Amino acid sequence: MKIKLATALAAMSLCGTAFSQSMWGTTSSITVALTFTYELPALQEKMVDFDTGKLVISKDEDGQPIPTFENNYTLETFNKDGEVTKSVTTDEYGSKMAVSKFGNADILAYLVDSAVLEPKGTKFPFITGYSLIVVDDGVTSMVYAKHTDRNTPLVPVDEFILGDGVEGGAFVATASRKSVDTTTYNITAGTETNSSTFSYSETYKEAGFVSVPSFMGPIECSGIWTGTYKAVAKTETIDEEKYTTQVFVPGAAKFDKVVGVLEGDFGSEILEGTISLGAGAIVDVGALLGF
Amino acid sequence: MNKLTTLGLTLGGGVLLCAYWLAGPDTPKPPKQPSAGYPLAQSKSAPPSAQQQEKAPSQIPVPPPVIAPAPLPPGTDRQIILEAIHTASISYDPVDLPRIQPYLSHPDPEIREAALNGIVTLGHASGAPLLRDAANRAMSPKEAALLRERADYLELPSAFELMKAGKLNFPKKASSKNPRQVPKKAREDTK
Repeated sequence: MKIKLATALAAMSLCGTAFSQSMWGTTSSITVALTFTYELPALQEKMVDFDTGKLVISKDEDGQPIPTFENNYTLETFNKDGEVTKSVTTDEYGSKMAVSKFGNADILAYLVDSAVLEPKGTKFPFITGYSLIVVDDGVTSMVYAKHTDRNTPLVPVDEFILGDGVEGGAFVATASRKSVDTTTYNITAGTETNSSTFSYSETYKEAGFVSVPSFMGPIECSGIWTGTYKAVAKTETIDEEKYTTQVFVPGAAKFDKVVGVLEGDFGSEILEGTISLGAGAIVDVGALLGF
Repeated sequence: MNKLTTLGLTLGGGVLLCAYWLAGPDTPKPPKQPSAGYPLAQSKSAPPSAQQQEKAPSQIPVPPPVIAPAPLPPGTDRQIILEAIHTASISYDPVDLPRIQPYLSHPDPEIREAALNGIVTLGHASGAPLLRDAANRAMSPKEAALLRERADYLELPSAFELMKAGKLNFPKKASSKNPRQVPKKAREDTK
């Protein structure tokens, strides 16, 4: 998502323009549409009744069958003298795939549940008003949980990392950059006037990675970033002096073909799907984060 | 002048101003605004007749309860629409879905995409029929496919809710990690 080329150009353009007090950057909304694929037991737990010697289905305290992945039991047949005449040992295994959604609400619910975020609202899971945003200061991008209540500060979600791209990975773009500096000399007055223009636009595709927070620990995922960037000149006046900063504003971006694997005590889970970012809005990052 | 005197004078002045505003015959009153939940046309209709005015309170038609504010009128600034979609989506309450739904068919592709993302962010299964409905009127087959895909996604059970209910993970014995294994006895028999 964060493009090395764009970052380098941002640094170049910042050197070429005056330093201003605002620290311009962008914020984008995050929409997570991931799925967990996991295994559920497809069998019912069975056991041999000690008194009757017959196979029975085990029940839990509510009288419900207990799901299990496997059963292993031996049924024996006896003659009238109590000698075993037949022994049948069975080993069976059964699983089924199940899919669940893992979106913004699930991530925020996990963050509230694990006390990273303060519960909000009156309804379970107490996430009303929270959103996930990415704040890009031109050098790094960080994910935060933001609440509509202005008194609630932004909370960094450290486990949620939007990767800078895979080291040595592919980055391809259709990009266009133009910078024109003009100096006009007034020979009579002995003065000169400087002006400059800068434009940049880019449509990119990049192999990247994302770390997604989950109730079973952060999950590392690989995928493909696609999106756009353009340079927007942000001008502000401080002490009657005009300062211009080129802000690299991302358009809507998508982290697609997401694949992540969670290996836990209960087996593996596969994470798939898409993470979308809304178009960036220019903000004073310093003021937003309280620098 | 001490603080108590200042407070007394302020309160007294306030009371006098209120009394003057209520009693004064020439006091200009603010124009009555139509309330948010009523159709705008109602304020333009003719004043109620004497017969209507005499109706008992129980006979006065009561407008249906407003579940969610009406969508913004056409021509509203894009940024305002995007903000409205975002605000509705982070309620995580299906009651706010009608506030996003109209924008699924908006002429601006960025707004349509924001509306789709808003419904996905809200994350409730009730959003699925709205997405399928929008898919039937989608601008392109690609958009229709995406809307249907996201509708299917919304109908999946929530991983967090399953986890809280203890229905996400079931312990597996080490021997069950590889179901493809053939028991020793069966292996010998098939030789």
